[in-house]
Amino acid sequence: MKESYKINAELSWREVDGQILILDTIETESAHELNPMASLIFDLISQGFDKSGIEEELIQTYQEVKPEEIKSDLNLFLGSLLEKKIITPS
Amino acid sequence: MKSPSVLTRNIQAARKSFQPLFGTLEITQKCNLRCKHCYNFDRSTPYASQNELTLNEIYKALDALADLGVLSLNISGGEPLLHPDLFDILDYAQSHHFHLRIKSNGTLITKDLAKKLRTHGVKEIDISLYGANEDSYISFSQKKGFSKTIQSIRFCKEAGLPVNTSIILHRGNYTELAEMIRILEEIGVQYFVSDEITDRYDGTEAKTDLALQEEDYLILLKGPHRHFFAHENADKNVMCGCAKSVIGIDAHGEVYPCIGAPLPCGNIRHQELRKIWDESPTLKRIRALEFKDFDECSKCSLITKCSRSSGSAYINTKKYTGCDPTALTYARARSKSEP
Ligand code: SF4
Ligand code: SF4
Repeated sequence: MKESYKINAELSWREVDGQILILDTIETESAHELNPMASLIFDLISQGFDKSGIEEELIQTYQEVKPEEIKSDLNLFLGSLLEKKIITPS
Repeated sequence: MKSPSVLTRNIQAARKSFQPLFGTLEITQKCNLRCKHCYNFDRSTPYASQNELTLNEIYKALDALADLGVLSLNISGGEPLLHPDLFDILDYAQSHHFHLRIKSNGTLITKDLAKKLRTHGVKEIDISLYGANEDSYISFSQKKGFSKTIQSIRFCKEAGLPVNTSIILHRGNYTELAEMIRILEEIGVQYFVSDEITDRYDGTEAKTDLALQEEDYLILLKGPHRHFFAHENADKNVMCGCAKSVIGIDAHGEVYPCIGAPLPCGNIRHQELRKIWDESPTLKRIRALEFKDFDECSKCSLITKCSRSSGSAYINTKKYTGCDPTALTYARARSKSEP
């Protein structure tokens, strides 16, 4: 089964200096800043990529990193986005 | 916001790379009020009432603002709620995931409209308050509106739409400040005090006579809400985010370094916004300004007490780097009120 996500509609975001800045003024009154890899993952989610699609893109982009490492980083990152309610399963 | 460091860091980065993180788009100059202090162009002139951006031009402006990197977008007017296509504009803006704010006089908001604004992606609403009762409200805005404004603030709060109230303070209402604050605290919304009254952008009917005078300011500086007025500028800062992290576009497509600093830089009807932002000589000149270029301020003994805004200086004196007479009055009052 495809694992896909959608971004919380309450959030606003923009890329600043190569990193994504996310604002949540309605629910948690917080601001988050994503590092370049996290920014890429977030961008792919916003474009509708599912988990395996994101994995493929990351493996292509970060060829110097082992695929297992990428998969484990992706799992961690998705878990933290879900926990912060930045994304929800769709 | 609980994470100022993240925001501050990003604002600084945006300022350095000239990314306008904060934008204002005026979608109309039409308004149901006639506030005496209103800085907008005189609405009786054909320029003000005709030839406003079409819906398609507004969509193009939103595309271009997102492309430039605007995150916080203020939808302003006139009274933006009067725009017949407001919800189409909000939906389109929402698709660009801006942090959408609306600036409104608050007289037209019903319970349903407040909910609708929320579901159409508005993240915050800025509502102006012109007095603590109907009489003072009418004497300033020339129409009834006090009760409606207070009701609108309540409706927005109930709808879960964060409200920022701007208390517009002037000669005629400053004695009502405590009462306005009491009302807003009872409702439980955020507020701030705006004491900047400028001339009209087109120079018609100068309104600065409404601005607080030194004796008014001295009273406010001794009052229970003195923290709103006791500004310290120890760093001698005279520059702001204008043309760097801030951009404004008016209802006729004119691009400004900030909506509060109406120096024309180009029009989106004739040029791509990105080209204007990257190549306008006015924007470049503002970005290159240094402390020494503010010739009066850099030599001024009141600078550490001054809260000048280059936009207001420009509107009131036509000199962006000059001394703003209202800021001077307030700075003088601050220096006199020191223990
Ligand atoms: S509500 Fe705003 S736009 Fe309307 S007249 Fe007053 S200041 Fe001007
Ligand atoms: S009082 Fe006038 S000259 Fe002095 S710092 Fe303020 S704006 Fe500049």
